[in-house]
Amino acid sequence: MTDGDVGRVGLLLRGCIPTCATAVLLILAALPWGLPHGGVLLPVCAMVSVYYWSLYRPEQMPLGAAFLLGILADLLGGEPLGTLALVLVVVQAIASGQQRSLAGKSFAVAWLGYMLISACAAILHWIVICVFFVELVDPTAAVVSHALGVVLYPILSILLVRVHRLMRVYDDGT
Amino acid sequence: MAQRFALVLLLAAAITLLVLGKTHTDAVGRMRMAAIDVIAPVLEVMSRPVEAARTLVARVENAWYLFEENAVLRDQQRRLLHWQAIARRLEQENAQLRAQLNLVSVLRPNFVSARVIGDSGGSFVQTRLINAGERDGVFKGQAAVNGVGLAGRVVETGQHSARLLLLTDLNSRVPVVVQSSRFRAVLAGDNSVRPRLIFLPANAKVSPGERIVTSGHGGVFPPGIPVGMVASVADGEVRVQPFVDWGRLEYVSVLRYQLPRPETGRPKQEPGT
Repeated sequence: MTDGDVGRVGLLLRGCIPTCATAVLLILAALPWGLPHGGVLLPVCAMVSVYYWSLYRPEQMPLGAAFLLGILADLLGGEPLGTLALVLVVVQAIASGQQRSLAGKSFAVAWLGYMLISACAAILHWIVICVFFVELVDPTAAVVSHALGVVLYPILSILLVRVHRLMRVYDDGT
Repeated sequence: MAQRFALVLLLAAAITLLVLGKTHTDAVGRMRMAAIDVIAPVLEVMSRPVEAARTLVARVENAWYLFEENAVLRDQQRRLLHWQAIARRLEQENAQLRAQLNLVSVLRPNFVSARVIGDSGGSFVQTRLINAGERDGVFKGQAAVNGVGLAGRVVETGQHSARLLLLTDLNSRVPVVVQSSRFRAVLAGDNSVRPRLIFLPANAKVSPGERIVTSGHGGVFPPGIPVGMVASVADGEVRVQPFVDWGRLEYVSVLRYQLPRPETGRPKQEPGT
């Protein structure tokens, strides 16, 4: 293996960090914490992480990765397979589309962006569930999930910024 | 352009999965649990420290209320001893009467206990993952209980893991009876913490505080498992507070219940009688 190969492998592995970090976050969110409304933790973590990476590293959180993470979240959470996959793909598409107006601005702008996109995502999530079960499902869970996401966004983004910084250190190293 | 194509493709894939989930429920369920079987060991290992932390928190909490609780428990114990005496007498009497009646014996369910390894659920589903599956004799439809009452039923099984649908889930329907008046009903979850009683007879009178137990109708659940207590009756809507504390559901027992079969359960009829 030449140095160039090692570098390429390293680059490839680094490219996977956002997706892997999100996957780990999802598994953590699925553990039996015994919290009230614990169920919304999983979609909230998925939404925040996919939004964050689509904004700051869209090339490393492509649509395919958002889709796969959605499938993982559906598997863990037990929602109809494809629900969160659909929602996360839409979140990725909107967030990466609005990258110019959201990324690189102040934290408040990114937070506001999350607030808007998460609201759309919550409504979409609710519609998908209603159509799937052919029933007007109580939308409280969607509201709670959206509210919790907005509240948790600053805390989760501290965590994500750490991972991001770690990646930047390596970026500079090569 | 490629991005737009990928977007359309993935949206179509997600919608296809959803449609397949609706039309081929069993196949998708099996696929899903095969995947969960792969993730389950990771969840199992990672849930241990979480459980330890929860136990610690519970202990600290308990220590805080030690004195008050002790007084309450002493009082309760005094009353329960009285009830125990009554229960013993009734049990004996019941056994005698059953023997006299030659009643079809209801099999005592045997069970397998499992640990909750994932309590995620999604926003709109109330499920738990447990670390026992088909290899342990856990199959779809079986009831899951803990020390205080019914928690839910098994909806999907893998080899080493299974998914429980809690009483509170939107899709949960459990045939129940009001314990004292024997009115039949169905306990229907709607994702709120207190499921509703539906299909109550029109003349049924139910008041808060009454106990609800499984009826055993449909043959899926054993009869008489405590489910909950009537919490509110308003505008014909009866809500039930389940006995199970969802925040503390760490272990469950899955009942491997089978209806007594006609050839083994009923007393054989002698020819010529």
